[in-house]
Amino acid sequence: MRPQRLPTELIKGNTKTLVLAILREGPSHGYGITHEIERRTESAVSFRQGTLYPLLHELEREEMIIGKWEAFGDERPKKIYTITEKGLAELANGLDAWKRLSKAIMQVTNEAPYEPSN
Amino acid sequence: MSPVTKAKPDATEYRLFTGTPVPENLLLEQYIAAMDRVLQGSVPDSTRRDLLEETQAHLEHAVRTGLERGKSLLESTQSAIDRYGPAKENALDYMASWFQSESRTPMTRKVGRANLISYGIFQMLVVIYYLILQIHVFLPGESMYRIPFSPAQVRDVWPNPLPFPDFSARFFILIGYPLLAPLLGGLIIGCLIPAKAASAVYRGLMPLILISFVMGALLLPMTEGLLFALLQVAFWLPVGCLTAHFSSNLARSWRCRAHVASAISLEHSHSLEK
Repeated sequence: MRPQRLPTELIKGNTKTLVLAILREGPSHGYGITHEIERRTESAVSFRQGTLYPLLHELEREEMIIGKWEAFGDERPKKIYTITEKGLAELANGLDAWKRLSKAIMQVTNEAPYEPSN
Repeated sequence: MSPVTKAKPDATEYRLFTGTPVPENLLLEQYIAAMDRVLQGSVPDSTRRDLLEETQAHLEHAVRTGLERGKSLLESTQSAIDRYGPAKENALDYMASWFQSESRTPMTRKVGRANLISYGIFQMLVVIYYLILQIHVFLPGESMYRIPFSPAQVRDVWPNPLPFPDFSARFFILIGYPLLAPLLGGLIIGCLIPAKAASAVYRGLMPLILISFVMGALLLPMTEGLLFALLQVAFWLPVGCLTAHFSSNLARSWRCRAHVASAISLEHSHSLEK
């Protein structure tokens, strides 16, 4: 069974962390990033794909990622993004904040940490 | 002369797979053109071209994936576009993000460039109104002027038409300025902020309204302050947002037209040189 889609406002604040986490594992283009996020979350995290590019360009301006145009055969050139040291540091901060928030919520609600059932 | 008819291409004529030329896909072209129409003239050319190239590559990749899964060209194109989102909305989101990225000071980065512009303009309009009121208070006109009518006064004239209390220029400035200020503010903000100008007006005006309410409460039992705060909520906010929205759309389309016209004239002069 497919997991239920997460509320958009929950995803919005964490898209940057998700994108950086995907790029930590290797360079990718915009389509590859959205596809990978949806694949790994079984479409629980799914957003309007057009909203990714403002974020990618913002990360590029902030030097957290580097974009480079590359051509594959006769296909249209694609911009491939690679994470930088600054991006890795931002990712570590984002993950840390998320873990602390998640732990705090669990402590308040007395819930056990979520473990997916196989 | 008989009309030239073009045969509709079959889906199989489109060759989308690696190693083949990029196909003609009218839906995608229309989508890119729709985004371009919003961005032209408002975003630098190099940035715009980068985004459109990336968008096209993204959509073509999505279409190709759909075709590989056995969907028809139309289905996979439609699905790719649906997942990418409406062209205008995406272009406006991008423009808003680009506009914010042009922030130079820490303050604009933190608060938002568009919000700060909107706040600044409306703050200026409020200060001008306070100045007009000061002039009115310290240089009183010959006739009595009061904005809020007391219940007794209203009872006296209602349901008969309200009389014009004064025909002086000062009266028209005092009444006309607060009515025209949000239109003027919205117009300027719409011209300065290329995308999401209405929400910038909302965010810029809300703190001013709160300040007006606090000031109004401090001025009690005089009710003018609270009345001004209510006027801002009921009139300035909706009128300012709407005017900013329409003026931003209009300014964007003017910029687009001017950009296209300059590109055409540049191309024309190049061809003449050759």
